[in-house]
Amino acid sequence: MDAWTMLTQGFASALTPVNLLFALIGCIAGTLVGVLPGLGPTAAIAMLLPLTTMLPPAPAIIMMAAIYYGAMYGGSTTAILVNIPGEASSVPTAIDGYQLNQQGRGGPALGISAITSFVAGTIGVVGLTFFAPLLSQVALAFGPPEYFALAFLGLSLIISLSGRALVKGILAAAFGLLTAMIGLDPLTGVARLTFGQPLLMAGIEFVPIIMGLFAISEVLLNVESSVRGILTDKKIQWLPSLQDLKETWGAMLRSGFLGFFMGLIPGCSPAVTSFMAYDLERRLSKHPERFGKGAMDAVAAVEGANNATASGGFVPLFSFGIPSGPALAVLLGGFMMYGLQPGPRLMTEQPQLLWTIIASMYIGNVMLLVLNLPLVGMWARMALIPFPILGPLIVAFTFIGAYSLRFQMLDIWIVLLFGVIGYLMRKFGFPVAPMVLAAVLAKMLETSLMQSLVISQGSALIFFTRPISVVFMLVALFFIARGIWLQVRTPENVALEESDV
Amino acid sequence: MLKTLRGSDTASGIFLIVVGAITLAASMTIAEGAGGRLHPRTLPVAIGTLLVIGGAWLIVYARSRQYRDKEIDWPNRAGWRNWGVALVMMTLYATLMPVLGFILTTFIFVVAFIGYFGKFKFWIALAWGFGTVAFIYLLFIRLLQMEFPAGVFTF
Repeated sequence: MDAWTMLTQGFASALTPVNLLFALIGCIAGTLVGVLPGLGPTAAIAMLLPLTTMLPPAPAIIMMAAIYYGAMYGGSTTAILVNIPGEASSVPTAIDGYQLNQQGRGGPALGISAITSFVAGTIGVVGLTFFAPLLSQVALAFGPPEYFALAFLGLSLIISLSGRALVKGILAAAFGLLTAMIGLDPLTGVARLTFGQPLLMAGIEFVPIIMGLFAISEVLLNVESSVRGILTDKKIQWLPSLQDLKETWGAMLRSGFLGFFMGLIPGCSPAVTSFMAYDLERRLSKHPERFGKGAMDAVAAVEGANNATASGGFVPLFSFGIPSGPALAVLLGGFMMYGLQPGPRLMTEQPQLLWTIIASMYIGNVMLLVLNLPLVGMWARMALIPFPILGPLIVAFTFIGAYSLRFQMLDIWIVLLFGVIGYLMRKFGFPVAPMVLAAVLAKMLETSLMQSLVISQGSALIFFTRPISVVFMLVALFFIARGIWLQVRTPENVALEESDV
Repeated sequence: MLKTLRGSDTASGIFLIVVGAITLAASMTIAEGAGGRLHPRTLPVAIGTLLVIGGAWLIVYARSRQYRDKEIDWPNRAGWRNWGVALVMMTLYATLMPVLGFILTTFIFVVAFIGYFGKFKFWIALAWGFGTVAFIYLLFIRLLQMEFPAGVFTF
């Protein structure tokens, strides 16, 4: 049977009241999980996994999948409203979304974020429906050299994220990489830079670093200037205008496709994709100078990439049983609890279940849009809460988010430390985004480098002899060379073309 | 006091050189692992070196003639006081959390912060404190079954 017929049958099953109910529960829980900083979909699915055992497989997996892609919808909320990116993938959203909120455009930014999430999520599910077996071959072509080249390409974005302050951006990135080096070596297990402290053996998570750099430093900046509120003007625009939609539709589609293709690669986190989408949009934008100061297309690009990456991740999961990230690994555990093994055999042995889940994702996306758009007005009004009230809530929820990662006080202290570092970085003109990007990419970069060198017996030529990795490496080298050339040749023009973030 | 970016770049450069030097020194004590083609210290050494060189470059460039200096937007005296009070409050919040428990310290922190910075009536700060801990307790502790430091009062 062809995909259309199977999908129609899947819809018939997904539209039963029980499956609809659990899709709705998953969407609500996912949105909540996304809104709460630090509490990611992985933890939420893991917590709910034992509770789902009393359900038949279809509603249970529908609910867990909905939590996963629902969390992507909610992730932008705190980033836009209070400058708390709960996950690394929301960092570029916070950069421009919070600026928009300060300009009284938090509502439209949230609206664009919800609409983009819907568009990109749907692009991802359409790709999953019609091209899964074909595209899954791409995922299998990725080995350590390709991952290294991808991480290197990601790092090359530091050049453009640094804008005017290239050297400062590179140094901030080096500092971010340094934080990721603390702990055990990923290949040999040797302790590095722990200074004999057992607590540091497990390394430093990048989420508390991000929370400190953005949320705590924002609180410090606001109290020093006695800010009464993020927004004092009571006139708030709630929904995006037609002009906003017109300006962002291109970014929605581009980031949707980019995110989907990147999502096919197991291990490629939405954080990498969202930074890539942000950079791509800035390069294509007619107004690159707006980026970092409140660009609506930046919010659309990042949220589109985020959501499409989440949907794209289902392709290798369903086709080969390869989870793209921790949340999908827990979801894979959910399949296994029911004696199901995602992969080619699932497609032939349990096609009804598989297509029911895929159909439910179309329905879930619509549910999330309907759920999230009316909430925009309520969230946008948060900007009117006086800052002396909002401030301690930001701190408390940031601490909860950081603590809930590993249940260690160390993570709270890291939040505080990086809050002060973030404050000083902003005062001293160091861009924050390169540090975050480097901290996020460091593990992938180092692990894949070491594995590649083991494969090639120490030869770095391996990165230039495989088709996918050589393309990534050449693009990365081009970006680096272009960035340096622009800096050296005409620094003033660079400043105009690329603002620092 | 670092009034301009020239001063802050010099200070940042010194800081980065120190961090880079410490990284290099600590990297020398990293043991060799089995099975890898790269010594586990390779990347830390590379990053330490980059920090030292980059830090030095920052200092040299900040002292050069072509450097375009700019004033740093520091807060005024009252702003510094607020900044310090907020940081002390957050530090005390984190310090007292394992002792008094998450719920109690959150309550004290929220009430103190709103009371000091908001200049609201005391009962408003108190109400926000109660509301916040009630929300946190119901959502995170009861519903999501998350465990936070309980402190000596074990709640």
